[in-house]
Amino acid sequence: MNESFRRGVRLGLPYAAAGFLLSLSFGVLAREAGFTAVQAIVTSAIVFAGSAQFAILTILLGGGGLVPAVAAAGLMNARFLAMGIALAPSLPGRPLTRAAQGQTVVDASWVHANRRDGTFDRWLLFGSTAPQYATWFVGTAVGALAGDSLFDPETFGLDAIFPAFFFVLLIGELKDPRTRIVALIGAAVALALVPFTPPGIPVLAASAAALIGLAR
Amino acid sequence: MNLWLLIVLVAVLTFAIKAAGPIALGGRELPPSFSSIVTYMPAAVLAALVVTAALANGQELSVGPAPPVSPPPASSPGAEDR
Repeated sequence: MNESFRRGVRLGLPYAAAGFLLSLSFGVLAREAGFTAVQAIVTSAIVFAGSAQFAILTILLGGGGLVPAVAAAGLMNARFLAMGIALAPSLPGRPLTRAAQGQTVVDASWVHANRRDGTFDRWLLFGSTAPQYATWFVGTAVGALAGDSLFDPETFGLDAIFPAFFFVLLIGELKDPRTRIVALIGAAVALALVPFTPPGIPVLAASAAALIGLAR
Repeated sequence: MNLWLLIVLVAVLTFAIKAAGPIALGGRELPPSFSSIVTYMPAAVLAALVVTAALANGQELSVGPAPPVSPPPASSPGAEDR
């Protein structure tokens, strides 16, 4: 345990708390979609990607099959491709070691670990993800085992939690005029693509706004 | 549908997506232009996440909470085929 890891844990705690509520509702909804409690818990343990997991449930509850569900999850995760490329030079070790370290990327921890000079603090990344993984697992277990006797996920206002947290992270990024322009273009690209592409693609495409970094 | 198959496929796909960058590009120096792009990526990704999480529901744009995910109607012929 080093200082970066501990700092990451502290930064990750609010997101871990929000993730607990969100995974609670994933557990409940997964049971409604036909998952057993064990299947719901294993999903959160080995997939650990909120937007992809909810995309699966949306497809299944809408009557969709295996292929659309896997495709929807892959598209929701597409942004991790860009985020993994950005992170790559900051990860030491053999390819498999780097691949394992890359699994710890979630949105908030990736932003926390970004040093804003093109490199990442990998221990801060691991630290921020650790509590988020723990509560994601526990929340899913509670939701899946207690079911909707516990609470009705639709009454919680969970829809607003993550946009709000992402917004807080975004505000922290907007320090210079060029970053603000990148954010505006990213938002515009994403919104423009929403009606025309499957969910997930707009965020991946928006990452291209960072190419403005090349301009002098 | 075999839900275990679905769970394993999604887990493998997610692993592959997160592993691709670190495997292909890790452990080497990349040109300064790479750093210039990476510096601006959080702002672009976060802005996109904020607006899509707040305003997009599937492929529709709407303000306010997304309609609840509801179970399929009792009979939906042909639904398995999609």
